[in-house]
Amino acid sequence: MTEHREHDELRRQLESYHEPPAYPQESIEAGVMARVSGTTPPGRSGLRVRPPAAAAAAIALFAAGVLAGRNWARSPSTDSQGTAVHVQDVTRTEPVPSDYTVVWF
Amino acid sequence: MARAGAGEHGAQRALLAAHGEEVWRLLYRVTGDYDAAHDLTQETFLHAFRKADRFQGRGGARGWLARLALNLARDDLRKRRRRLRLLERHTIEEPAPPRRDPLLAARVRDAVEALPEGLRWVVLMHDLEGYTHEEIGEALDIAPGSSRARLSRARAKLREQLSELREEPGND
Repeated sequence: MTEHREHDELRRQLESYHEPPAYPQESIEAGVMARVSGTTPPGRSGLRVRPPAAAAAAIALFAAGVLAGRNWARSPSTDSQGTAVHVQDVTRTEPVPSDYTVVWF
Repeated sequence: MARAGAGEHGAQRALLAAHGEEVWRLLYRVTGDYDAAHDLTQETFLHAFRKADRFQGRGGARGWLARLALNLARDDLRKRRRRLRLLERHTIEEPAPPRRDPLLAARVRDAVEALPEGLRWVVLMHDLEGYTHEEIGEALDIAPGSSRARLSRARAKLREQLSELREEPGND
């Protein structure tokens, strides 16, 4: 096998290693811009908050405005469309810590 | 980059639009974890905006963002390994997986993960994500020539391991 073909073969085999799923562009861009601007994007009703450690299953959906220093949402709760919102850490009442990752939805 | 660092949202959005996906792909390749890649991609750009004045242009924006991303990933992987060790101490030990996994993907994963980090990241960046040696040099703080040498060593090790697998009985 030529060196070039060997590289192609190796690359083909490696492709399966942690093959990335589709890029969650909107979620990531909204999350970053929310963090830098501290504002609610138009048409967004809530945001996703993950602790910095990104613990498994630590998905929490919160009512809009948390970034502005409002309190954690209570569970069970609903967003502005009436969709059920599942909230973790419901006993906490302080604002989202600045090192948390937040994503509007 | 300077405008993004100065807080211009338009420039920040443009940087995200231009490089968000490649940072995401790189972070997913090295962490293999959706949530971690998601969070670390955001953190990478937040760091980039804060540290934009340190961008010197060597390896371009792509290489510099990869550098920030990999530094964050390294810290994250270290924390996750620590948590995993703690969990293992408090959970019932599960039986070890069979030594001969019939799935090639699992074999490839084992071979890649057996590489030292410095080789693994070079081969993932170059062969799978298309980074140049200049960009990898900037990302890993090594000379482009070292990146070439590491790639060559990584490929040789992988070929050796994967060819051994092909030669095992039952893998024809």
